Amino acid sequence: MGSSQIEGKRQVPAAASRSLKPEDLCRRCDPARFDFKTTDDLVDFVEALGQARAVDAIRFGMGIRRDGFNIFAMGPEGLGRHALVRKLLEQQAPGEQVPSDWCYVFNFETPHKPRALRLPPGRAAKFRQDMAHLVEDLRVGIPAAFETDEYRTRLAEIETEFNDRQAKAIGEIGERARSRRIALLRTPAGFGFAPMQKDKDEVLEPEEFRKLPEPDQHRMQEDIESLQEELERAVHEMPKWRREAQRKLRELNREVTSASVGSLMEEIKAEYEALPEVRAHLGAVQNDVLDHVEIFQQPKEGEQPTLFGIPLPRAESGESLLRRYEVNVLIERSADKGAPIIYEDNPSHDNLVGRIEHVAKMGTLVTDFTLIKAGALHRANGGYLVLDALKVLTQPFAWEALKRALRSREIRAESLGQMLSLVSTVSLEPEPIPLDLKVVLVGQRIFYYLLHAYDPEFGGLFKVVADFEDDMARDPDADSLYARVVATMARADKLRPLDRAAVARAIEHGARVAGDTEKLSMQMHDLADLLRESDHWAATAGRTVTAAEDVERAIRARQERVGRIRQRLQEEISRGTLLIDTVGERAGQVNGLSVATLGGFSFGMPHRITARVRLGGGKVIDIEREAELGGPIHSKGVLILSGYIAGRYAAKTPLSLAASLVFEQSYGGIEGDSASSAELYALLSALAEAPVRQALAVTGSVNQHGDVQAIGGVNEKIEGFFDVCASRGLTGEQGVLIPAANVKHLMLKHEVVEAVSAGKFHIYPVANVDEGIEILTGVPAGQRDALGQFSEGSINGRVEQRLAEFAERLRSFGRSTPERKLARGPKP
Amino acid sequence: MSIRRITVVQEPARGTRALDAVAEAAAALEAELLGLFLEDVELLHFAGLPFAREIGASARPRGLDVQTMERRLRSQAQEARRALAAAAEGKPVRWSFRVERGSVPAQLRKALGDADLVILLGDGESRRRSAALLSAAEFSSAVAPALERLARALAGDVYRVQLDADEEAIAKLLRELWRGAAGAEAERTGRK
Repeated sequence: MGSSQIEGKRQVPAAASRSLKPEDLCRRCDPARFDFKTTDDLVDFVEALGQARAVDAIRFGMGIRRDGFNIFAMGPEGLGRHALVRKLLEQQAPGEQVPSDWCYVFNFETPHKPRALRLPPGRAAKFRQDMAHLVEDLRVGIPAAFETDEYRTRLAEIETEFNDRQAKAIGEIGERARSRRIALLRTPAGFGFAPMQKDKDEVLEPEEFRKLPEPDQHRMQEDIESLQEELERAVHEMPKWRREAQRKLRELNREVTSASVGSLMEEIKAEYEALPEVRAHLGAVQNDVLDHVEIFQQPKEGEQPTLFGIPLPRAESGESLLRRYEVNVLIERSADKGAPIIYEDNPSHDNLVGRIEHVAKMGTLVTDFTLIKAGALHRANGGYLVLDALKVLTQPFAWEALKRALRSREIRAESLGQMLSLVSTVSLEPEPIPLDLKVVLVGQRIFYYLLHAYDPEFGGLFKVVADFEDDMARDPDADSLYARVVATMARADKLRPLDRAAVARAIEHGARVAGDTEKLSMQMHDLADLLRESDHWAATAGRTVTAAEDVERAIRARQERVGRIRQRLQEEISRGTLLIDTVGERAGQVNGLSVATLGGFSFGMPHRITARVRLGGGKVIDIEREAELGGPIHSKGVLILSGYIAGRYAAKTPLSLAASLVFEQSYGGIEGDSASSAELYALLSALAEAPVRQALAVTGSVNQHGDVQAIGGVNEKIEGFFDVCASRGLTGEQGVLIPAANVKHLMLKHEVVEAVSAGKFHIYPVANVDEGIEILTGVPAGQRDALGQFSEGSINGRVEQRLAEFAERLRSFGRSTPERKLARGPKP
Repeated sequence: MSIRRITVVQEPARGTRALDAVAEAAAALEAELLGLFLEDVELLHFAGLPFAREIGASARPRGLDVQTMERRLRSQAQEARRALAAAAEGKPVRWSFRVERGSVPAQLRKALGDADLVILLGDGESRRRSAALLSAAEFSSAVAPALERLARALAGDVYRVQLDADEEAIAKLLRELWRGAAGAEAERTGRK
């Protein structure tokens, strides 16, 4: 295939004369149409701009009080989803009922299952205080009851009864022993029997005993043995008597304290008359206090508690036992106005459902109901819980916990360690708390669709989707509303007011971000950042009002900050390392355009696309795909080219073409079909041997009929090529071919528009391949005449002729080598 | 009449607080405090018998010999001494401790002869035993309530105070003792 590089101008075909006018390249926002001077003259815009669908959905979700109608607010980052959700919730929540307070209290029947108590809003703290006062009063009242003479007398009675019983039993044995002249002695560790002297009440000394006649010794020993047996029986009975005395003591304690405990309890019960659950708990407290009055009698420091002189094991300290009468206020809403709105920024499992803490005691971890801590579900119960979907999904077990709570409509406080049996220590099973709340998940669309597809429970739990718009229609009113949004943001952020030209520039930027002259971006975070940055530059320039220059500077500075890679690539093109021609002509070589997005910044760059053709079996080889550098959409685009060429030029003859297509100097992979028209032009140029003007670059995808279709990133692509041309000096020949359908997306930077105005750069809208190839080669594409023949010398005619030649050569080549056919064997 | 010597007859592991109160009273009265531990010789005789058996809380008889009994009494005496030293520590009181072996009634009588005030510390059993032994020295009903109050002032763990004197002397002594104790209390709390 021949290729030539010819300097100089060519004749401009008719299609080229349709290059776009400057006004088509960027839809300006005319500051003159605004009737304000600065944004200070504008009133706040409190509605959600351009998000009517999402707003309706959220309002519907908030209003419908049915199971599973939780809300998923979806859309890309930066649209202000959280802010809008919060604003709508804040409008709704204050008018709703303040939900109940919740406490955990000791369960006297099953201590490891603390009871949950519901109290009217604001009463929980009072209940806790009342219980603390009650305990204080009991600590005074109960010991006072024990201080009375009556109690002391009756206690002495019990003690005396026990002692007397013991003494009587021992005494009787002692008496019987004495009658046999045997003494009952009290030893340091018990009792013993010893024979007495005949004439004195004194124990017989061992030597005297040995002097006695043996029969006497035997008799004494026998007597002692029988007395020992009696004593054994009596001592055996003593623990029983002691237990009996202890029981009597408990009864006495209960009796003497019941009056003072009863009167204190009645006072507090009266306050909670209307709350049966609280009353039931108070009843249980009363019984427990009466059963454990001893814990209100604090033994003095360092002294071993005793009962009838018998040391008792030191029990748990009274203070820790008194904890059982405390109230753990989980949720307290005395300061709340309306339903709560909770945003949990760290939705871990424990932060959602609450946790049970432990304290180290004597080397072990222990817990009780006072260590149960509320989670976000507790705090939001009766109101709204806003969560970031990604955060919930990335926290271990948080998503499952959230679903479980919503499904069962109750909150089960349980630490993750406990749930996974990682903590093997004393633990609790708190009574679940009924759950009634609305969850708003905020996340990207992909999460919604993935959850819908892969989590069977998701659809049933999040029935309301609030789909946020990425952009809004830029009708005449929209600019004014956008201006008010700018004013509102500036005021909210305490920024300088913006003059109307600055607002107009911000609006143009909004359209550029949307990539559409007829749309405005809803990326509110991006807008807010632009305003802040503009304010900074206004401050640097010493202005009190932000001007259009400041906004422009902010946009440029932002591009400059992230533009290192773009600059490096352009530098390599200028230095000739990356081969891009912007003058001259060459067959089979076209400047394609691509867009790279790195760290949220997109920029366009030209790429050299080349095609080589030869005789072959009808296959167009996509070198990118062969080298596994091309993505599937790119491959699809190339396969479409084969369909177009075969259908248009070789409908009646075999397509005897072998072609190869490549993105030169591309090492990082290619995806997308936006270069398919450029690839087709390169192929047609190679087949027709028609040189292509290198001053032009091309973007657009193509279908099998040769229609050029819209692509994305058109502005970046044009500007990418423009920058390369501008750096080399604009010749007036240079320009870009874009799909006609993309004209409405043009929001080009000022330099491009100015160059076009000056006739130094051109943008050609192209609807089909014929239009494009004419502009690129300066040769008419050619139409089929009445005989079905393309006009001679036209691009299409030359392509068809070349393909016919290939077919003919293939046929003659096949005839000249029959032995080869035979060698392959006969075809069926 | 003033009290120059108080003898406290100790039983180990009993009445630490009472001992403390007695030491405090002795300090307040500027009296000498003597701790007396009595080793009952009858227990040693009993332990020397070939068939001596002891029955404790387990209700099972266990063998006993003189060495064991000696050891036990010695350790009890040491314990009693330690308790007295702890009670007297930090108080301006002169104190001494003595172990006497012999017949308990005889030793008690001797103690009563040597001291102005004898305080028996112990549980109900020792109280009963001592009371029975010293029936001749039982105080009259007239002074009993005052003794009770004294006992309470001495922390409520003192079971019996024995005074070897006639009724008139007892009453006088108690009045002085009471005033002394009350004065000491007032001084301690800063009230006059």
